[in-house]
Amino acid sequence: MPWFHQRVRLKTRFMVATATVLLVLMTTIVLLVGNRFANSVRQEVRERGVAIAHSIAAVSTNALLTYNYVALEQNAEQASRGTGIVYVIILNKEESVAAFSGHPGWQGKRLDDAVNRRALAASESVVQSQLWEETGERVLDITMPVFIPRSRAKWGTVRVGLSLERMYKQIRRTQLVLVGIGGVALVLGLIGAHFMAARITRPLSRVVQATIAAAGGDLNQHLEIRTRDEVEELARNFNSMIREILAQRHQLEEHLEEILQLKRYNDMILASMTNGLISLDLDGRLVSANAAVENAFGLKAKDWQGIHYRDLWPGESPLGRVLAQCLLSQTSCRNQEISIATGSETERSLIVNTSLLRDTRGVPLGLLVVLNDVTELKEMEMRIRQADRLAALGTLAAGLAHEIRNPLSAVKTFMQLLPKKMANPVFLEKFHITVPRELNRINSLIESLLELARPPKMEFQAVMPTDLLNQVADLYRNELEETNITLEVEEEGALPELWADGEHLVSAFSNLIMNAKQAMPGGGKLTIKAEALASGVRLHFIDTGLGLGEATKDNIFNPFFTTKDKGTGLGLAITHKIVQEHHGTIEVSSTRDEGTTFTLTIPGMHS
Amino acid sequence: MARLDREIVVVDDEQGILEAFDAMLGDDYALVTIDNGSDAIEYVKSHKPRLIFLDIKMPGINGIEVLRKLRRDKSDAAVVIVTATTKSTYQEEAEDLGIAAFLRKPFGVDDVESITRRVLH
Repeated sequence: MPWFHQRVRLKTRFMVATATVLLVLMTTIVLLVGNRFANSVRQEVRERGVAIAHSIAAVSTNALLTYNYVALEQNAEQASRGTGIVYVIILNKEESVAAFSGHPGWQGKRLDDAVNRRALAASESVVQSQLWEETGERVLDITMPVFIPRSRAKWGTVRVGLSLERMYKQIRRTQLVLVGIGGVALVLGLIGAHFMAARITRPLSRVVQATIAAAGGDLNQHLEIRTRDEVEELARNFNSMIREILAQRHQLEEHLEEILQLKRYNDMILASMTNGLISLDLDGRLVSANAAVENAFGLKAKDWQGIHYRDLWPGESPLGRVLAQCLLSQTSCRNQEISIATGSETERSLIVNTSLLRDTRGVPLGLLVVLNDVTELKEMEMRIRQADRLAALGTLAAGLAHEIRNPLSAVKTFMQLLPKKMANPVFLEKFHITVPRELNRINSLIESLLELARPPKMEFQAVMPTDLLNQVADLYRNELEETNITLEVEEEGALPELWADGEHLVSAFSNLIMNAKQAMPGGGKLTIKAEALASGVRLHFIDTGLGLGEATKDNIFNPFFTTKDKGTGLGLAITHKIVQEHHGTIEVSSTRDEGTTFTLTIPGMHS
Repeated sequence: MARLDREIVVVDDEQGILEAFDAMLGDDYALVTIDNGSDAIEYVKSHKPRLIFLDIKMPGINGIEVLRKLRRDKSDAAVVIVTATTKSTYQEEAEDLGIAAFLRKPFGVDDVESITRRVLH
């Protein structure tokens, strides 16, 4: 990473900035002050030089005018003894040396250097700078022309060389002092800046540390910063942000816990379901199966997870067949009953229901299979049916007993009385009437029973239902009218021909009419309504009698089941059987004290 | 009307049973046969017989109801239930209402004669 991309601490930046500013400031101050000081020293040196030159010129004017070289020599030597005076040169009107301090032999010498030329040309004081080769020091050369008093006529030139070394030394010393002060100021400034920066950046770095910790997951952060500036504002916002995040995290955790609880609850429901539940993806792989499925098929989780159903239940197995069919058609299968062999146990009966799993847009995702073990239910059903049969048999036996005991009692009585009353002609006459009649009753009872049990000898032929109804109406109209019952026969539509045993149907209808008659002891109305159906006829036998109770309705077609105190209880059982022989149906509906309706359907010739 | 000490009423819807009682008791007693419950109640109310043979299963009012009605009418007639049913609750019901005997069909001539003697003599 190049250096300018590297992370630089805020404090460092602040220090560098402060140092730069201080450095520029100090340098400027040192340069400005040094310059000003050097100038003023230089000015002072120059003015001193001019003053010295002026005074030499003043004392030497007469000597020049009189060419008194000794006096000039003395003046130069005397003047050159002053501090910092390197040389004093007095030049005469002829521009040759009149006196040269330290060089008495140079009298009359003409100097031909640039400085001297400019000095000779000057008509007023001239200041020049030069390197004095004799001593190797820098020298300020001040020229002062000497004029004849009260005249503009130049009569000589005085030059004074002032050493600049002292001045430069002084300037350098001053500059050093200034640099020293600047350095100290810089260091002090940096120290101050350091503390200032620390003061500013310490709370900021606390905020930074807190954010780093928070970013690292430790949200247990609270900043207590009282700087009354943006950092405090930042810290306050940070605190409220952390609070908000914590609250949201808490809420999230609660939601998660709720979701987990719901999941546990669902898992528990699935596990405790007695119904088997399997879900398959569209390829037929098992996605889930609950405990009931595992138990029923003796599977463990590893046996089915991600396994294709065919590997568990091949296509020829009952469940495999149902699943293949449902997956292929991608429809829901309802109440498919299958038998499975489970281990050593006997076969179990399962009802399979499947439904297609779809996502919210209705795209199929897979198949949900519910297996309902109905083995026990079926066994129970069978037991109930058996119990029903036994109960029916009990009713039949009881009815049979009752029906036989009555004639039997009469016969028994006459038989027991016979030895004693054999000579009694009245008794014998009664004997001959009663005994055969009662024995016949027993016999006909047995005949009816046999008829019920016997495969019927039906003689089917084409019959018109209208004929049968007329026949039966003629047969019973008078008998019904005697007990104040009116009989009405209604026909709706053209009744189709039936393929039926007319005689048996008439006896079935007769039983219904006798039943209606007994249900209306106080009279009433019996309506026989015939409707044409597409596939035959429907007949209603509607009475306005006493009506039936629920228990009676359920048992009404059972042999010997009777609520009447008259009759064998076989009539409706026989009717039921005859209708069944015609592949028809018979149903009963009834309302207490309003009446009962028997509804028969008998298929037509071509159905 | 004076009560006939020897009058016996038989109530049964079965003609054969009525004929059997007539054969057993008709010669020695004044026997009245009735084939339904409501007629029986009417008859007993007006004639107050001492002995009644009463069937249970009859069209209309059954024997137990007849007996209950008689007892409510303060009849003190000796009632003998004669029934072909196997239903056991009838006997308890009848005994609660007060009966002289409970006879099951097919009964024997001896049973009927001995009960009749016991009640009437």
